[in-house]
Amino acid sequence: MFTLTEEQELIRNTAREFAAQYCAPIAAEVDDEARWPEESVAAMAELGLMGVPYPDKYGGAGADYLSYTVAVEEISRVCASTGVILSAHVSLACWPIYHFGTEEQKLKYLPDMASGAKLGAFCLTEAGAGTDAGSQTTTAVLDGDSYILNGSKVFITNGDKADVFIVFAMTDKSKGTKGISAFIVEKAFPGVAVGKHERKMGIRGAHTTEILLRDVRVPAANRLGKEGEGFKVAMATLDGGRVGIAAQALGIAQAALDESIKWAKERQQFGKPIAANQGLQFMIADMATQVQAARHLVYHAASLKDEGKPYSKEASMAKLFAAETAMQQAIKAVQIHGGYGYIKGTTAERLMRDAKITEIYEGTSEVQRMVIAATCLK
Amino acid sequence: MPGVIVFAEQHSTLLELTGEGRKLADWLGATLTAVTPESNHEAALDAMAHGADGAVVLRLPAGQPLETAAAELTELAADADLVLFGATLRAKGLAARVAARLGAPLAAEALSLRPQADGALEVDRMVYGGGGIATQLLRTRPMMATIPARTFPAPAAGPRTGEVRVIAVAADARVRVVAQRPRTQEGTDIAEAPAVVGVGRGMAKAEDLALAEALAGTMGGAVGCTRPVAEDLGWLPEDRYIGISGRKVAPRVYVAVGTSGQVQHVSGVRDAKVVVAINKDENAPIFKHADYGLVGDLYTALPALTAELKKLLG
Amino acid sequence: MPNIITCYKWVVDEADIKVEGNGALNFERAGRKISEYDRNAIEAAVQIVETAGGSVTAVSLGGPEVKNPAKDGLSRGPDKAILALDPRFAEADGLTTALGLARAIGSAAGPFDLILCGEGSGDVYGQQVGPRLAELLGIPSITFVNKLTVTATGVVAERKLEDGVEVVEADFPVLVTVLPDLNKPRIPGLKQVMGAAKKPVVVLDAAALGLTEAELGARAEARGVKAASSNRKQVKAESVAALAEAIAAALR
Repeated sequence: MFTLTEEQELIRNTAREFAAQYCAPIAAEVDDEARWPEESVAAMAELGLMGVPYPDKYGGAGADYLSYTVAVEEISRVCASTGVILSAHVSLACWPIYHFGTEEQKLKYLPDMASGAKLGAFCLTEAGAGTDAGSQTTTAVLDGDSYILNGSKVFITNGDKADVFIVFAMTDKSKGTKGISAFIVEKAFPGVAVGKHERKMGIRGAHTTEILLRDVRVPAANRLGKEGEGFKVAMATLDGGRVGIAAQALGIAQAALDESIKWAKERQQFGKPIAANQGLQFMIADMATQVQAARHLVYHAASLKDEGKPYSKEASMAKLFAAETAMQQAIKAVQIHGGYGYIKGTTAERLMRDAKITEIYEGTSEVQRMVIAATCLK
Repeated sequence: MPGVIVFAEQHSTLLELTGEGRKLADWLGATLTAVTPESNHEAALDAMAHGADGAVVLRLPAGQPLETAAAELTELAADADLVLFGATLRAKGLAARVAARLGAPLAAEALSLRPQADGALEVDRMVYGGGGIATQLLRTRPMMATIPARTFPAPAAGPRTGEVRVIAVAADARVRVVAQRPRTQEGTDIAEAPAVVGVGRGMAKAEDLALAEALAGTMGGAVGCTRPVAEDLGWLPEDRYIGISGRKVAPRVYVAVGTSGQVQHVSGVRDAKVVVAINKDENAPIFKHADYGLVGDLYTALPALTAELKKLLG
Repeated sequence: MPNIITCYKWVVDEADIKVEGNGALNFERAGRKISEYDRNAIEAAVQIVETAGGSVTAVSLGGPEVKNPAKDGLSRGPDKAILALDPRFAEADGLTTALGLARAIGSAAGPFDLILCGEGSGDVYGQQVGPRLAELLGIPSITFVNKLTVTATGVVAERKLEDGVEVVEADFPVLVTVLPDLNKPRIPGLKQVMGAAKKPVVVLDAAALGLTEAELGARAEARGVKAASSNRKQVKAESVAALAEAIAAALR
């Protein structure tokens, strides 16, 4: 069903070579030390990976969303942290500007972001607003030709490294979700500060922080979309982000399968490789089938997006399935590795910790089920 | 001239090819001529005492690379049945140019030559980084192949004598050798050592090489290594790297220590009489390429082995 | 501003080759790629032109196993590509490959100063196409080069040989084969990947190259490939002492 074009295959190769050269040698260390993979991020910028699906006019590579999806998959297969750094930047920060921005906003911000000169982050989540994203308490008060933003955001991927934030805030509390607006906020604006750095179970190389906004003056020209359109911007962005995370989960699932196959062939017990045991063969068969199914869901969602067709339901299905597959595969990979799977330094151990978040962020699996059910039962 | 021609830059290889060439010349009912650069004049004479009917030396003008001799060598080989070249790096280029002039196929780095009933030659060579063996049939004349050193045994000496003919090679003004920087031989040439200890990335640090050196010393041998140890880590000079694009060694004993056994490395010790492997990973591929294997930590096994051998060998 | 030609081969990814029980090799699921050694040659050509100006033409020969490698080659920097593709070129040997490349270069490449090739191909590693091609084109060849300087009229090349380094100067036109330690090939950036489709590609088959039946038939007959087997004893030593005995016996 999916024969990638030559360009898409070449982009896969570039992502794969990048991951092998830059991410692989430091993946364990990045996880162990929660170290930001600076050289990898710089290399991604140089290779044009930070703007894969955006047109040349805005500094992007002019490729499509499927190419981008494949790139995230290949990178995440080696280092899920690097995968999400890329995905949060491209899908959550660049995309809303690309889709909802005015020409001025696009020309002002996208070239730097698509080239990787500036890194982006998406600031929606608050302490009291996770799945219930509509309960925003960050406020944006109009004052002349700018808005004053006050509030704090939590669990922001790329928080301390980003230069450009997409921030959601209440411009009109009385309107509920229709009172939320979106803003492009630069780290350089006075009043923007990075708060707490979270210590996470997995994807430890990606930095997750609080973003504090204290009387931040944001020019009205930086409002993204109309007043009150913020929730729509957020939801539309998360639809696309869903495919990016699905690609990350797919990469993790593939890595879990690869590691399991390698171990099963090498590890000898009772005088033969454990791969000779039918029970283990059946596990591998199931894992391989699940990964393949996940791949089709993910690529299909990305293709629909490229074709300009509605893809919200498919994106949710892809994210739901790929994330649950990643988690299950990673657990199986640890099991297949036996005692060694529990030891730090074994890739399977890291995969299991990395996988869990894919079932949670950018819409929990429960939220995905809500979205899918809603479209089915309309 | 018709018959069998063998060419080699090195003395020992010329004799090896002369030995094999003699057998093939007898099979074809042809004469055998040994060819070598004039700087190797002694080898030309020696070839005639080891089975060659005649010998030729190529007089290269100063500052000319060996490949310039393609024209003259082509003339010599034009009517030949078979031409064998010792597969040194320079000679491979020379052989290819001669083959192109003659429109003849060239079997590169042949492992074996098997005469067929109809006068053709079946040839085996390694492909896929040492993972495969490809078989080819050479038939059209001249049949051409390059042969690595030590593929064939040195022949017995005999009383033959003859004249060494000199062929002057015309210079090619377009190419000039402007400098030579000889490789300084640090310590033993591992290709000559009766025993070689090959180390891989199982060694944690450069200082640990001392363990391998102690073992090699007990056996009267030398230390070699895999490519990463020489090229990436730089713990040993390049002439110690054993493998498909490095040195080939054929010692009585090769001890592989802390190397997983990648085909690219293992193909360099194909001709070792006995291969011994020490590795802590029981599933390392090296054990498939070894006669005797010990699963264990090299840091305990090496000193223990050295001590045992001291007792046995004195 | 040299005009450079760089030759590359589309080879099987050896990591994907499976060995059957009977020693046969299975290529069914093997991916294909540009031979690693050739990437160094392409990189060298592109680097020279980035500094000195000029142009790079990529040339490749192959049979039905090749599914248009032009974009892959072009994404690494060359300006245009010439492909010699024909079913008759399936598993072409050194003789056929050099002949096909020579004809392709003669008919479609225009005047050139320098030809860069890898030292050998990643699959069969015959190390002969470079010098053969040079001979057919009537130009000198310098092989096994790990340091290359281009001047206005030619090259200064350092060859890494068994006995040390040989420094050779040559005038244009000349062919050079390069070693992997000459450079580190760049990973193709996305802009280069997307731009490859816009670069011109010429495809020529055996007939267009003027190759006769006699020429195509001159090659050595291929008689199959099998997995290299180990004929080692594979005995598990019980102790260090037992191992020492075995070694001592072999040394006596």
